[in-house]
Order: sequence, then C-alpha cells, then structure tokens
Amino acid sequence: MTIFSRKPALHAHQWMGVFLSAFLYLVCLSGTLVVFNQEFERWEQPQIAEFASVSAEAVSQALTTFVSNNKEETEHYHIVFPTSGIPRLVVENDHKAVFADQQGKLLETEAFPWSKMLLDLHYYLHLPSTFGMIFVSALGAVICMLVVSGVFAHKKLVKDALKWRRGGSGQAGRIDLHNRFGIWASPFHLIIGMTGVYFGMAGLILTLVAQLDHNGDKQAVMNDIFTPEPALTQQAGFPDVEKAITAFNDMETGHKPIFLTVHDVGTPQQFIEIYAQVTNKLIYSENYRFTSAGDFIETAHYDDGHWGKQLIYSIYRLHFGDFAGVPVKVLYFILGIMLTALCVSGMDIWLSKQGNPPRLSAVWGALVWGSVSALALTATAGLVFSIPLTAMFWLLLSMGCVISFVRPEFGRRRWLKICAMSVSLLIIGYGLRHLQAAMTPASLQINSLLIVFALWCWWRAGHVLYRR
Amino acid sequence: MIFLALFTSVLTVGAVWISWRLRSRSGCLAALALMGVSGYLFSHDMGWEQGIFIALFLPGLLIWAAVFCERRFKPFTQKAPPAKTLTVTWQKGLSHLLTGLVVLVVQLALSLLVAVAISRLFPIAEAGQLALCVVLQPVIWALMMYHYLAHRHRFVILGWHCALSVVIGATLVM
Repeated sequence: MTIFSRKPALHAHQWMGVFLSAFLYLVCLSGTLVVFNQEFERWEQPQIAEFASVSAEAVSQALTTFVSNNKEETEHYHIVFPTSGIPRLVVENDHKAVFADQQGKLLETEAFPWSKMLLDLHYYLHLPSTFGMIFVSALGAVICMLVVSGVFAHKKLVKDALKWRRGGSGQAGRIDLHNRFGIWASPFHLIIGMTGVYFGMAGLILTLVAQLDHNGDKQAVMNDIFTPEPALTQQAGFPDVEKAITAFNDMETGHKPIFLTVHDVGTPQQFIEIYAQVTNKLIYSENYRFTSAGDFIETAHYDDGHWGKQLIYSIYRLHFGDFAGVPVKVLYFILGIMLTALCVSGMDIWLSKQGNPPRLSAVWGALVWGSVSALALTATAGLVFSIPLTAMFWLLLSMGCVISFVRPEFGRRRWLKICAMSVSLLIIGYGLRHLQAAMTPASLQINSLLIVFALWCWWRAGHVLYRR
Repeated sequence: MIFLALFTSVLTVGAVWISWRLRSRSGCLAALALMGVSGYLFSHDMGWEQGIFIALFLPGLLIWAAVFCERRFKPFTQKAPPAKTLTVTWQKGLSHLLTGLVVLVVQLALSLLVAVAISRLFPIAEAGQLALCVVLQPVIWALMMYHYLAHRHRFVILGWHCALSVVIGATLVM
C-alpha cells in the first residue's frame, strides 16, 4: 500500500479537515463574502453620492479643501477615484477619509466598520495581525493538501463524477455533494489556496532572502520586486494633482485609474503616483509617477516589467476575483460558497461516521449557522450603536456554541430559523436606519440577496432531515 | 467573442457529460480540447491571464446542470441512527496537537527553506526567483503535509523532510 492509495489518503484528508474545520470554515465563509467587499462598503453608507467619473479640477478642489480642514501630520494623501470599483470619490490622509461629490465638495466621513471587521476576520481571524495572517496563510496550504488528498482518497473518481444520490439518511447525498464540490471546483480551490499562502508567507520569504543576500535589508529585496521610489530633490509645494491627472488622461493609456497617492508629504521627495488598473491583465495596477508639480516621471513597469514582478503583483486580484467586473465576482462568490459547503459537508460526514456525538454535532451546527447569525446581528448592532463589532461577533458566536454544548437538542433546525430571523432583523433595521437611501442600488444589490438568503434559511429549516 | 467563449464552455461540459454517460475516453479528450478553445476565446476578449482562469473555473459551475440532471432520489428516512458519545483522552488530544504543530509550524519552516533554496538554483533574475518561490512554497508545504499525515511512521517521514531541507538548504550558504 503506497501513500497514494485510498486509505492513507483518506486518513490524511480526514485528519486535516477535521482538526482545522472550524478555522477553515470561518476563513472560507468570510472569504466568500469578502468577494463583495466593495459592495458591502457602499451598502454601509448608501446615502453617499455615486457617479461614474470626475474631473481633475473637482479632485484638486476636494484635496485642497480636505487639506485645509485636516492639518494633522501625515505621510500620504490618497484620492480614490469613482472608477476604482466603488463609484464614489474619497479623499484621505493617514488618519481620516472623507467622501466628496462630483464637484469636489466634501461630504461625510467614510465609515465601514462591519466591512472592516469582515475583512479582518478573513485576513487574520481577528488574531494579532502578523501571527493571524501567517495562520490564515497556512490554511491556504491546508486547502491545497486537502485537494491533493481528496483526489487520491476518491475510490471511483470517474465513475462517480456526476453522481448525486439524494434521500435516505442524507449521508450518501452529503458524501456525493462533498465529492462533486471538491472535484469539479478543484482548480479554483487550488488557486485560492496557493494565492492565499502568499499573503502570510511573503514577509517570511522576504526576511529570509534579505538575510541571505542583503544583510537583512528588506527594502533592498522590495526594490528588486516592486519598483523603488524615484529619487527627487525639489521644492515641495502643494501637490498639483490636477496637472498630474490631466497628464495621465492625455496619455490615453486605456487603463482605469483606481486611486492616487501623494507620497512623502511635505518633503523634497514628495511625488504623486496614480494607480491604474490594466483591464486585460491580472496585475493590481500600472503606476504612473509624477513630480509634486505634476510633471510625468516614469511608470513603475508592472505592466511591461519582469514576469516575476508581474506574477507577484497579480496574486491579489486572482485571489479575490477582483478582475473583469461583476460576472467574475459572482463566479468567485458561487465557487466560494462551494468551498465553504465543502468544509461543512466534510465535517458533517465525519460526525455522521462517528455516530453523531450529540454535543459535538450541536456545537458544529452552532458554529456554522451561528457565525452567519452573529455576522448579521453584528451588522444590525453596527447600524444603531458605535460598539466594537469584533468583540460582539465573537461574543455572539461563543454564546451560541456554549448554548448548543449545554443543550445539544438546540439543533440545526433552530439555528437555521435563528439565521433567517437575524438576517430579517438586519434588513428591517437597515430599512429603518437608512429610509430612502435603502432604495439606492448600493443598498438593493445586497439587501435583495439577504432577503433571498433569509427565505432560504426558513425554508431549509423545514427540511425533513432537520425534523427528526 | 465572449458569448462564443461562454458557449464553448457549455459545450465542454456537454462533452464531459456525454463522455461520462457513454464511458468514452474520446469524449473526454474532446472536452479538454473544447476547454482549450474556450480559454483561447476568453483570452481574445480579456487577455490570456484572465481568460485562462475563467476557462478553468467556469466548468466547475456549469457542470452542476449535468449533476442535477443525473441526481437520483429515494425517500428520506426519518429514523436517525442512535447517537454515540465521542471518547476524548488527554493523550489523544496532545498527540493531535503535536501533529498540528508539526504540519503548521515545522513544515512551514522546512517548506520555506526548500522553496527558497530551489528557486535560487534557477539562473534567473531575483524577481523571477522570488515569484517561483511564491508558487513553489505552498505546493511543497501541501505535499509535505500529505506525506507526513498519510504515512504510518510519521517521525521517520519528518526526519526525511528535515534531512532533505538541510541538504537543499545547504546550497543557500555555499
């Protein structure tokens, strides 16, 4: 018996899947939702004016007003363009971000605490950032390992390729769904796993290479991958962003500006950098650099630079599905649901093989559906109160798990109903909080999905398998 | 062109379905060829980088039409099997924790060392070596995890992994 035969492969698959199931589930669930992070940010402040384009004069006007209103020390100014994926104009420094309208008049302060909490859950699982990111990255490698072991563990890979046996005790259907999700979406799972590893490992690779080649100087390695900042010695006045944007537009690159950054504010090295999305590539952006006076210096050569540089700079968009617009986001969202369902069905299969130990099964059900309820209730609370949402999420989730541990009869049927009610509460709370703004596209695109999800949870709670 | 590419993806799934029903290998090869064509067509509109991934991921979604059509149903049984209690011992718990530490911490370090060492053996620019390292490291780590967990004599395997890492890692300081 080699390690590639069924039994050892299944053993490896089972051990890894069960041991890390809770973490894998939370990362996959949050990752699936984070695909729509930009949409969630818009949803949290639906009343903000939205527009497709903005003039260079309006951008300059917005920055000038912002700087005169916010005089605290900062190293950067950022301007996020309405072509960034969020059709709004945002002006910010290192401390504060403010929306502006199409004429460059400042509006209210940017605030998306729930989206930030969700993003942090996916990036760090709310652990201390460096450790959390490395741990989440390790889960990327675990996903790769689960794909490999899953393929070897499958006895009749081709024969069962399209099989789905529903009914009976539900176990056969669960196994079939698990296998179908796993096999057919495996290219996606592998890419998500491999790209996910990068975010935590990049720092470690950098440290090791810096130690080997540059006496520990990480910046030297960074300069080899990412283009170093231009060396300027100039009189640093107020950055002429209007001239820089006009010059960028005149270049007719065909690239979509995402945001603009003024680096090293107030120093002789101050320069303006416009990050623009290259629409037919995966690289995050091509960067156009200008002096403080708005004169073009150079590009950062991400679009036409070394393949290695391009590959590393492509990982973000490939991991988050942030390329080719909404259709790709929807594709990533559905495939992400499959990956999440894969974690849940895998653990369900194992629990069933163990004879459904009451307390453990109940706690797992609470984690799966309780985390969704906790996210919805946290978002609802965030609408009304200014409270630490991360603490509230974990408190609600822990409470759910404890209740299910103490009262194992508190099963999935109840959790599904709680989920439906939590999401309904969120929709009602959102409508009351935002009134007319709840009818804007920014609100409706998320709320319509939430309504469908709440109805599905309620319908699913009545399923025959959950009645027993 | 994008609609033609989408149509070719649908044809790919159709070819998989037919080949599966007929148990024919040629249908499977046709599906692979069609997937290549859809990749080309997507690349024509979206650039090859995006086109390839869309062509690779999309069948994973479209195939569900075939799975749905092939589903079999029998009545659900209301009778649940009797529940069992899981036995947990401290010894078992500690052994699982140790295994977790090996795959998540020790093998992280080993795979990192091996990936950096291998990528630096290639006579390419530093940016290329780093990119290669970024791609290799998760693959090496996943394979190490699998090798360790699938083997009965785990500590022997860990020893082999350490030895391999030392040998390959030695090239870093030579």
